[in-house]
Amino acid sequence: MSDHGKTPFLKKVFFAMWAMFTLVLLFSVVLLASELVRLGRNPLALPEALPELPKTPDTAPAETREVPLYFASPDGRLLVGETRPIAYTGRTVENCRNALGALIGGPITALQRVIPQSVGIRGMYLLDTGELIVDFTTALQTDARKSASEESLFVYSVVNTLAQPGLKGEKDIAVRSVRFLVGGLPPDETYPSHLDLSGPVTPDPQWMLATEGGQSNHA
Amino acid sequence: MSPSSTSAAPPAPAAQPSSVEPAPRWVVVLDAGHGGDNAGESGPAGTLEKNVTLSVAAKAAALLEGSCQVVMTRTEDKSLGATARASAANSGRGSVFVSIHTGSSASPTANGIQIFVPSDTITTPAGRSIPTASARAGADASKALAQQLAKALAQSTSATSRGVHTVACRVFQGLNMPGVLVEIGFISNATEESLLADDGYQGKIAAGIASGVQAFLASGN
Repeated sequence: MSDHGKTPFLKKVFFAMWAMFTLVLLFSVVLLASELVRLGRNPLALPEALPELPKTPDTAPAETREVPLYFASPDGRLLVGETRPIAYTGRTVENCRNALGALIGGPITALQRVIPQSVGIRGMYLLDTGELIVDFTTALQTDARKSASEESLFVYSVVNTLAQPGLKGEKDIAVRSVRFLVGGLPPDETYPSHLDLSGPVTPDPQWMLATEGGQSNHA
Repeated sequence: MSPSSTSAAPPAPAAQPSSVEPAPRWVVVLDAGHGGDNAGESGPAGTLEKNVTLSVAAKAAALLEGSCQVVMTRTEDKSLGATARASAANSGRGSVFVSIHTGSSASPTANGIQIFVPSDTITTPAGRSIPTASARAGADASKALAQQLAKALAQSTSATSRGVHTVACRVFQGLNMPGVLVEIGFISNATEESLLADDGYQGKIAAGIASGVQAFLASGN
């Protein structure tokens, strides 16, 4: 066969293959459309955006617990519990960190803040004895009010909040007392000016305003 | 809370060195809070705590001097640490110790008089609070003093009483006599600030302190 005679033959083969491919494609489209109709979906609708995959949390806990955080009463006299959901893990110290973060964040009701918002937590450690060491940033020394009454509210707001059974990790130890550090050191007279915080502090109900539920007492 | 060691109280009055057997005199230690570069808290109008406390202490001293011997931890605008204040009280053989301060609060309406007394426990090196007989005796005497002061201050000033609270204060550390820390009003409250800066009202507070101390000493606690 001459080269001149080959060309129409190849053209015919090419067109035959193209026609078959087109038929298969059309058949697939018809099949897909009928399947979508069967599933109750519109085959002419634009494709939806891909659904977002659920994000994996960095540190797990989805569980929260309702825990009272102790803020000052509107007249600045005593402490009142404001019940808030706190992220709960199996570790007491993590739960305490979450609660203290919320305490520093301030109340959501008419209660008064007892820790300046500028104050941060440098570290928190729980000893086997149940003594929780809380290390505050030095903003406490510059920004907190310095009177015996206000310092007392600060100390017992922290201690009475953190030494609650509700913050104890399931298989962890509970907080029995809190030792305060400021800037990594035992507090000096810069803050608190009046209270002696050289040792750990245990919860004290005398600073709590009595509530109907008997949640706290006023001695 | 940490150690606050006050002894059973009050110690016997100091005898006068004289051959004619004069009546023994009680020693009242008045501690004007803050001072020098430690101004304490300030009010909305700029009144400084250190000036109010010194003025009230001086007025109370003047009222007490006829019946008691008075030791003031400071008589001028100078800085003094808590340890130095307690040492001055101990070396002055004080019968009672009254530390004068003002209150301050984030709440602008906070007002009234509040008194702090030492706890009845001591803290071990391991950080455990243990009640002891001497701490209990000191705390009981301090509470009795606080109650007399609260009563007398309520009468002399008509201010709200915020009660007596047990707290370990720095100035109670090592103090060997009944002691209290009195917040004579809230300098953060504009109304009370103007009262605290007023000479006449300071006189009323001083009268309440003097009267409360005398009532306590007379009760023989």
